[in-house]
Amino acid sequence: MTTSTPPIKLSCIIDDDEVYIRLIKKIIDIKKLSENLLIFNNGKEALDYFTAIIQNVSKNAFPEIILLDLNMPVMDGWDFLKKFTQIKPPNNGFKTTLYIVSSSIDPYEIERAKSFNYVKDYLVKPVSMDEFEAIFKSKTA
Amino acid sequence: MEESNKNPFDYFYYQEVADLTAAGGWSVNFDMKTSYLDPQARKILNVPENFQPSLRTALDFYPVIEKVRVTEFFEGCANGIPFNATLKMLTFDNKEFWVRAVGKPLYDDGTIVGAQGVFQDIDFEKLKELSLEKSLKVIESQNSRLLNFAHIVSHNLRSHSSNLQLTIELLNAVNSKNEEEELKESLVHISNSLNDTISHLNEIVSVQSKAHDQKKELLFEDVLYNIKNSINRLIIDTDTKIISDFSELPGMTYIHAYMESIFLNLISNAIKYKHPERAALIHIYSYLENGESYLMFQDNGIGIDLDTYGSKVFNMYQTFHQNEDAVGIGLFITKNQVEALQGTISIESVVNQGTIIKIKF
Repeated sequence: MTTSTPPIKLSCIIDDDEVYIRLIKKIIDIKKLSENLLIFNNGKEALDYFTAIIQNVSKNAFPEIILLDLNMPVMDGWDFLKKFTQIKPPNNGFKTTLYIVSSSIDPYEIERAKSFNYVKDYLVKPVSMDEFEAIFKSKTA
Repeated sequence: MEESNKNPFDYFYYQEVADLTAAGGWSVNFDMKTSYLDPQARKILNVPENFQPSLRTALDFYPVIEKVRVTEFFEGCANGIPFNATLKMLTFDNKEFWVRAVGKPLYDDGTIVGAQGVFQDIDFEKLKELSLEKSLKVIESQNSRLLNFAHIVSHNLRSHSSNLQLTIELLNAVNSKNEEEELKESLVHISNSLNDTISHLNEIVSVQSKAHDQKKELLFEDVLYNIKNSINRLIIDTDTKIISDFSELPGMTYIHAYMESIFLNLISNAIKYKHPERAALIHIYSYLENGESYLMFQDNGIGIDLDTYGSKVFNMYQTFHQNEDAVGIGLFITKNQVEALQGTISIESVVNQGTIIKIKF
């Protein structure tokens, strides 16, 4: 069932919670969900990266999955979403799936997140190991 | 009066209704130059027994702010337009009170010769209404802070519990001793953060409960002295300079613990977010403006981009700089303390130049 080669080449986590990041890294590692992992501690770091690589149009440098937190310092998830929507190139080979992963259960925030085209789903923490696995596998299914 | 004498019942009912509702009648005749106040109106306005109402003195029964409006009402009646309004009146001995008043043109043979009407003393009810409105505003603001608080509690506890759950799941999944050790370390982290969160929540709850503490006379100079003492080391190590002038307003009545906390939070914020290229210079002034008391903290720190973060600076757990010790609770607590005692707090800032925080008590 589980293949030895990870289904995903590159995935990306944007989150300021270091403990959470460490745990996700571990899960991805144990379950072999992604070959490489990009980690940004806030929206700005992530946006700077994406802005830079979009000029290079290197397909390999673009993650297939982005897990985005909402509440972060410097630039929060909302701001990132707004700006990311502006810089993201049209769908020519870039197939990125973006999930919001947040601790907020505010229905207003959930509604708002789903109003963004790029947001595939809103996941409320805690997300279990199985759920993470399902997200990564669904990408290749 | 002559009319009512003919029918004693009419007069009886009229008088009882007037008494019961505290409503007085009046009439003026522009042609005959006569004015009339009925007994209840005389009682409400507290006029002396020999007082003769007249057009000349009619406006004396209204405070300055109402005079224009009342003049318009009378002119309206003269042109056939009745009025119905809630306004302030003055008694003969100059006490302000709220009335509900109606007035209509007075006709004689089809032509308007004057105006007549009734006013009802609603001072008690109106004041109650105004005080209710004020309470409502206070409750609304408390309610929104409470809701915000509930979301924060839910959000923060959830992130810890979620990390805890993931760690446990992982502990069950890993095989090596090394990995287990790593995960145990995570448990320590989570436990520490959970403790921090709870102590922040305690701090906020205590803001609310301390709002009922006794207010005392305090001097800003003393408060500043205490705070400087308590963070003396930090001030020396960072080469921070504090310049203060409280001569315009040396002190005030306030909850002592709040004032100390306000000073401590704002001074340590100014030091925490000082500009890397210069030592922190903090100005603290107290002053009076339009009869209101103000306290102002000005620093020369890195400032904050209010166009981007403006609406959020006073929210809980909002951090904008990548400082490691940024917790995002100081300004939230300060705002809560100020608002718990019906004050307001505002911020002005220029990036790389500094920040001014003003508190109106």
